[in-house]
Amino acid sequence: MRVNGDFIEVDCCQKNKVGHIVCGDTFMSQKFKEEGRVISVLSDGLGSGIKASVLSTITSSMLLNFSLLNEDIMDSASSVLKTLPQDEIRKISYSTFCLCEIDCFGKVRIAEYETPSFYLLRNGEFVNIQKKKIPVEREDLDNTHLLISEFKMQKEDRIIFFSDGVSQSGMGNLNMPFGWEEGSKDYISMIVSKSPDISAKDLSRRIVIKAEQNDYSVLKDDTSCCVIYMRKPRNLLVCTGPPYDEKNDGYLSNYIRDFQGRKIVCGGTTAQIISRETGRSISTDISPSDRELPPISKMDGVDLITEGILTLSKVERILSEEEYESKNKDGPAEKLLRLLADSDKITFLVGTRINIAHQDPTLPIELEIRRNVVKKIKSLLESKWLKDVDISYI
Amino acid sequence: MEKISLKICTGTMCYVMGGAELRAVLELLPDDIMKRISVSYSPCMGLCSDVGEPPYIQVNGKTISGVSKSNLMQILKEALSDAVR
Ligand code: FES
Repeated sequence: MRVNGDFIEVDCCQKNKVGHIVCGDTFMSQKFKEEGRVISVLSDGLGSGIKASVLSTITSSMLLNFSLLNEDIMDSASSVLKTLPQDEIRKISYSTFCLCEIDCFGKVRIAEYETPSFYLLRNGEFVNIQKKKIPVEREDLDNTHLLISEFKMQKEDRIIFFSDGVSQSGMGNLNMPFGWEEGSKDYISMIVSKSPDISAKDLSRRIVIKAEQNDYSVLKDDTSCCVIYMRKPRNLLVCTGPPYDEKNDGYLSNYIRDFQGRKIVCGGTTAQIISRETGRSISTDISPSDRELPPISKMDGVDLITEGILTLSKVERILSEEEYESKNKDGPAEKLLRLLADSDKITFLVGTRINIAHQDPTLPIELEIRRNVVKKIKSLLESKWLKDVDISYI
Repeated sequence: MEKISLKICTGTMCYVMGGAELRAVLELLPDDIMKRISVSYSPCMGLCSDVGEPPYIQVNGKTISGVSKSNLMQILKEALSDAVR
């Protein structure tokens, strides 16, 4: 999602309490292209396991849906808060949450209920935001309130929030008897100062993995961490298929040359066209890295060259799987996925040439497959990774 | 002793029609034979859409179509013994 030309990357990493098959924390995020708004919610259900998961799912989807209807986030947060059931025995509410809304001008509003405080990291420093305490009337619960924060997001800002699985990790250990609350700040600063460009995806993963280490790899609670990062968009161009009209071969290769960002070519024929137009040679990697796919090739000025249809289909397959544990990290599809993950704005340039001279009946089919696979990849990238994706045909 | 050059097409069509397996054949060959073959891979050689039969390979620049696991062995044997002569 882009705000004022900047890109907002949202990612969340979750790990379950050890021995549980579901996570009791629920994270949801949605971007509304038309309005330029991004809403993200993290909710932690009381306890763990299925019950916690149901509770937190209800809470976060209600919050998201209310906010979607353009209700003020404070109103939506307090209505949800009023309806949350409370635990009979412990007399506390069933779930806690953090709701964050960023509008098209970069204005941020965060509503927190009983969760560890969010962090705002700006220029390597944690910024303290004054929070407004808004009481919410509830007969059965005393002293219920929301904390509301408002500020303007600046370029390179990171907002970080997590469930108490992170802040309470390591509790009771000698070096952090009260958990990781303060130590986490040092850890985050250290990581960000070492790699100032670290993506939201990687940072959230690093934090969760560290929390897991604090618990000696036996997580005592469901652990989630969400990072929202505003930065200059990273552009990626993926070209696949030769242009409909041969006259456009030159246009294609100039387009690739002039593109600001990283470039991928999927398809041997397409790569050959570019090689011919630019006079640069292609060399094919001798060490094949994935038995299912033809190997990658190399050419100056292009970041990755893979085979076309088989590779794209595999990318689509991996993207649509829930969890993917890759066996060969350096396979062509995995390399392509990594570049996709690392980019914000992705443009697919799909060539539509059918070679009539050859009268090959399979070619129009291949063209259809190519188009469909690219469309599917686009919708997966948009819904799962919240990427900004365009397809153009040439 | 001269090396022979072997180029295997890894374009989509050749790959699907059996090119993928040719790679496996090479892994089975003993080292001293492999030392005498310089293997390279190429993107689609542009022959697959014609009436020909993929997968295609080139041995010392000569194009051969319809290569299978078993006849690749044969082709390599012949090329190697030609090179000795
Ligand atoms: S794929 Fe081998 S010649 Fe086209």
